[in-house]
Amino acid sequence: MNPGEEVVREVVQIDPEQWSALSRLLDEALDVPIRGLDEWLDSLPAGDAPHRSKLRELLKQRAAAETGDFLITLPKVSGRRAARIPVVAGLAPGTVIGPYIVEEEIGRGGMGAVWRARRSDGVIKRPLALKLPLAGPHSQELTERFARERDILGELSHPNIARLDDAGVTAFGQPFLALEYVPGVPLTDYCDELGLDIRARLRLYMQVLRAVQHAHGHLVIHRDLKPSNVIVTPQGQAMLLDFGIAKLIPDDDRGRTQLGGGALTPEYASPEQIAGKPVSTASDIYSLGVLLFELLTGERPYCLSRTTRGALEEAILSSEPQRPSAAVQRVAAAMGRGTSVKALSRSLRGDLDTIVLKALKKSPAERYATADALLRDIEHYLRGEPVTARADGSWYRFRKLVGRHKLTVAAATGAALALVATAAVALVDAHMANAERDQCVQCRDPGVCAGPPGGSLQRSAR
Amino acid sequence: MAGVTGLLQAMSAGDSSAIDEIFALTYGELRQMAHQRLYRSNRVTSLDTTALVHECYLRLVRLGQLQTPDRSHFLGYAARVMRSIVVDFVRQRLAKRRGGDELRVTLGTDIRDSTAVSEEEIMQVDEALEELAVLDPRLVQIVEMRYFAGFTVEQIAESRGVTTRTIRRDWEKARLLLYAALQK
Repeated sequence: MNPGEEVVREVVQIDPEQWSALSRLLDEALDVPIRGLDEWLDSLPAGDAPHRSKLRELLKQRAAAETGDFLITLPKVSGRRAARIPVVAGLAPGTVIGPYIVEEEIGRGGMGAVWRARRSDGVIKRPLALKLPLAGPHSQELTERFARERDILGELSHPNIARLDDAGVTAFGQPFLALEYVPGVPLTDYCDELGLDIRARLRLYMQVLRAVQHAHGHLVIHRDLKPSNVIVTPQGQAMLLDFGIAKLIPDDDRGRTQLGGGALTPEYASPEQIAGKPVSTASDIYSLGVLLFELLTGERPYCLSRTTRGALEEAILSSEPQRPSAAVQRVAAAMGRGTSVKALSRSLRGDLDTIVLKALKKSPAERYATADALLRDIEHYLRGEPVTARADGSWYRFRKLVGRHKLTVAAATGAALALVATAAVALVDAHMANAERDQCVQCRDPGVCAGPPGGSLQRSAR
Repeated sequence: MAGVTGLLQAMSAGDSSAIDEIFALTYGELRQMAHQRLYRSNRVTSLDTTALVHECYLRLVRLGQLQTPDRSHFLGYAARVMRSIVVDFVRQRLAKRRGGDELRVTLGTDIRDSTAVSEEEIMQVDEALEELAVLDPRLVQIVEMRYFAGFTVEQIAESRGVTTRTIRRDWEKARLLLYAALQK
């Protein structure tokens, strides 16, 4: 901004000290007709003579400059195929967005960017996560929608839900969402990093279910439940981000509910979301099912022949998900859960398979009716009680009874028969699991199985 | 928040920190607004800087951030922002093209149809203005308002509270200097 004289001489080539004299002379010269310029230059008083050559140089361009439309036309900037460049790129720390000052970019993706920010008026001291979605063209409509939803979402108050503090559109048409800033890591990463076993994972997952139940009780659907939206704080508290926010971002033409439409992958989307049908709380239950599947197995529910978005959508719409116990393949995933592949598969077989698959039913009506119902079944499982997911009765309940009261039952007459039956059921289960696994040979290659967590299909900004 | 009006007044009264604050308040958003215009469409769109500045002004007035009498100050400031937006944009495009990206820029003016010439011109004018700022900041602002923001001589004169003759004179002077500079 402050070029030295050397730079000045480079292009403009005028010594700043001479400028005021030169400027005054140029004023005069511009009143002289072009024909009379030479004469005017020759007649300059002695004091101005040193400027003569510079003036001559500048003025000889005059005719060209004046007739050639030089600098007259505005620079019209046009962009072609420029839609890929994120609008929010190029924000610098310290930039003011509405009532906030952004400090550090903490996420970015197809839907826009997320910055850690602060209120510029200092009313709220703690940092906030400021989401800056790509703006649609209808900012007036967006403004009204944001105001409406802000009021609804503002009522969600739960220890496991990151609060939405504010939502709006700045004077310049940039929508923003200010959320409670939650430091932490995504649920799946947290579990993997700590090598949590299945029971510990389930207990964390139950926090998620309580949060979802609370929101559903306020008639708020999340619509975009996925690991990056479930953050675990260093204190081990699961926090749900972005409740109800997917709805605030304009859907694309196909009515997808993902933020910004095509930018995100449908990994956790329910069949009805993929099909563009109306979304209900059952949609969240489905996404919770995918999340649970992944927490337990380290894999995704569908076995894909191709890892394209189309193949995934097709699978979500029409393929039956694998049983979690059959999906366990990777030694690393098992070790991350403090066990072996075989033992992990065995512990998932039965109740957990049933619970997960019930959440993943294609038909919303067949899924758990509420997050609470799913929660209760997990509680049942953890306590070794019968889960509701399996309706068929006596054999199953009997097995559970055996499990809980081994000594009593063993002491009873007919105990031997019961144990034989139990073993038989277990064998049948094991056989089925193996058969499924063999059917899905591709899954031996973890890259093909809808990608392991953190794979390329999954990553997105939160 | 002092509001844009207060800051503009402080700025015109010579408070140099005010300009920083105004920049912080509005630059990012003005810039985004311009970029959104450009990026929203897959088809060719033009950034009409003049319309953008006016729209921005009206919004600020509606929001009570800006009072009508401060229009002139705002226009001068907005012109500077427009210059930086346009220059950044061209720079980004040039870098992309050098990087072999398929992204194409059409920086056309109504008269010249060679995009390369226009882009080159914008960058050169920008560089020359940096130097001109050392000599005569007043001329720089006139070029910003006229060339980058597309205001008429009359509008500029009104906003600066001087006669159109003065502005026309300064404009001619600036053009001579820049023309000479761009021939180098």
